[in-house]
Amino acid sequence: MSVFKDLDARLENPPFDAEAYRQRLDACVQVAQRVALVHVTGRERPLLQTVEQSPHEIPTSDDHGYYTDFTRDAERLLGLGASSYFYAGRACPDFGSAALAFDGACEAGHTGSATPFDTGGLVHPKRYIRVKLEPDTDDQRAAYGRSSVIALEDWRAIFGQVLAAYFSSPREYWVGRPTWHDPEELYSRNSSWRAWTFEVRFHEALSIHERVAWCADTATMDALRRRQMAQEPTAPGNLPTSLDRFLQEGPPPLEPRGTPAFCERLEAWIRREVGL
Amino acid sequence: MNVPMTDPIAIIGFNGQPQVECGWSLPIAQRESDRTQCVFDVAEAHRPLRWHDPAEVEEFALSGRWTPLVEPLPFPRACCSETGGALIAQPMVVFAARAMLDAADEASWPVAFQNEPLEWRGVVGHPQFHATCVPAATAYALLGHWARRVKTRFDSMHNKPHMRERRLRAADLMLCAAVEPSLRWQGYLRYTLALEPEKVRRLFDGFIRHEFPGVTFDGLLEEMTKLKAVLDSQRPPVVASAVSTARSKVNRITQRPPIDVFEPTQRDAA
Repeated sequence: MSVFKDLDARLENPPFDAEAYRQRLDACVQVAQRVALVHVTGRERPLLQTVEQSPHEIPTSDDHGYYTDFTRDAERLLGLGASSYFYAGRACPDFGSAALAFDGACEAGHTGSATPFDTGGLVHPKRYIRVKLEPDTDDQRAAYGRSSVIALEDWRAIFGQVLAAYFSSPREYWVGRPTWHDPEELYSRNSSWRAWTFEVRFHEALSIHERVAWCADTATMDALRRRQMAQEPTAPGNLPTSLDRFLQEGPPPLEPRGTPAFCERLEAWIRREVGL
Repeated sequence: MNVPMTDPIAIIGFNGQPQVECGWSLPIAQRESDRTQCVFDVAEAHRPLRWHDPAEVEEFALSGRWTPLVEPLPFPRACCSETGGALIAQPMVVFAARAMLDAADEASWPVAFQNEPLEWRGVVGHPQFHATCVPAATAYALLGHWARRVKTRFDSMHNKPHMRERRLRAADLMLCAAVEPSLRWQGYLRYTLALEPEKVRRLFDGFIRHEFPGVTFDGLLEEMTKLKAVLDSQRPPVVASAVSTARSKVNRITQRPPIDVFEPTQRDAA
C-alpha cells in the first residue's frame, strides 16, 4: 500500500496525530502548489550539447543517448511509458553537472504521472530503494510501484498531503527526513532522499527554454563561455544562436561563476521561492 | 563543520569532468573499511554523505559523472583537527592540464603551496591532467596564484599585436582559474581587450552582467579604455641602437681573446 493510500484512515491511528496534520496541511499545500520541478542534466550528454542541438529539450527515455537501459527497464516493469523525468524540488548531482528548475506552468499541456519515490531506485537490480515486501521479488516491487502511481494532475495535491502527514514540517523534505513511517517502511529503511522525493514524469519532452532557474558547475560555465566566444557574431535581424538565447534571454544562472554545489544552490533557491 | 572522522579515507577521484584546463571540484572519497565511496561534500551539515558501493561507482565513472585518479591521494591533513579526530575544512580537488601549468610559468607540478604540501596524481582518461586535494581555501588560493601569473603574462604581451591569439588564450585561462571576484573582473577586462570587438557585447550579455550586476555595458567599455591606456603606457621605451651588421658582429667576436672554457670568468677579469 503506497504512502498516500487511505491516508485519512491512517491518520486516525497512532503514531499519527490527525489534529497536527490538519494544522500543517495548509502550509504544506501551499508549498506543494509552488514547488518547482528539477531536472539535472549533463551526465550522458553535456549541457552545451543540449543547448546547441535542436530540439533543445529534456528528452523522454526514447532517447537512448540520454537515458540508460535501467530507466527503460523500470518503465517497462511499472507500465509507465517513455517519459522525461523530474524531481519535486530536489536536485541529484549523480545525474550531471547542471540543474534546471521549472515552475508549475510547465505541466500545462503535458500528460504523465508521478510517484512518491524514485522509480529507478525501486526496481534497479541493486535495490537502491529498500521497502518491506514479502516476498521481495521483482513482481512484488513492480506491483508496489504500480500502486504508487499518481495522475499528473493530482500529484501536487497528494504531495501536500504526504508532506503534512509524514513530515514534522515541509522543510524536512529538503533538510531532514520523514518523521512518521509507512507500513512498507519506505521511510524508515532508507537514508537517501530519493526514497521520499516525488518523481514527476511527462510523456513528452520539455524545452530547456521553459526553465525558471538554473545552476551549473564551474567547468560547465567555462565551457559555455568558451563556446559562446568561439561563435561568429550574429548579423542584425538574424535569430540569435541557441546558445545566445540560452545565456541571454532566459533567467540568469544562480551562480554565474558556477559552483560544485550547484544542486544545493538550486534547492536553496526553490526553498526560498516556496517560503522555507 | 566539525564532523567526526572515524574511518580512514582516501581521495580516489573528483566529481564531474575536466572540461577546461583547470578548475576545482568536490573530491570522491573512499572509506578504507568497506571501500564504499561518496562525493565528499560536508559544507551543508543537513545533507548526509551518500556512500555508494563499488559497482555503483563504476557506473558513475563509466558515465563520466565521476573522474577517477590513477592512484588515490591521501586525505588532506589540514582538513582535520590537530588530533585528527574531526573534520574542520571542506577538502577540494584542484585539477589542471599541463597547458595551464605552462601558462602560469610553473616548471613542474608544485610540491607545496602556502606551507601546504601538495601531492599530484594523474587523471584516468585525461593524460594531460593532474589533480591534488587540499582544503577549499587553499584550492582557491592556488588557482588565484596561477590566475595572477597568467595575468602578468597577458600584460607582458599587451603591446605585441601579433600575439592577440595568445593574449586571448591567456585571458581565457585566467578566467578558468580565477575564483575571487576582483581577480575575475580583471580577467574579464583582459578577455574583452583580447576579443574581437564584435564579441564584447555578447560576453557582457551572456556572462559579465550576471557576475557583476552593478556594471553597465558603458561602464565596462570605460574600464576597458582605462586598462588599455595603462597597459599602453607601460610600453617599453624604444631606444635607438647603433647600427650593427653581421660583419661588424663577427669582427667584434674575432677580436676578443679566446675564452678558457675551464675558467670562463677569466675573460671578465681580463
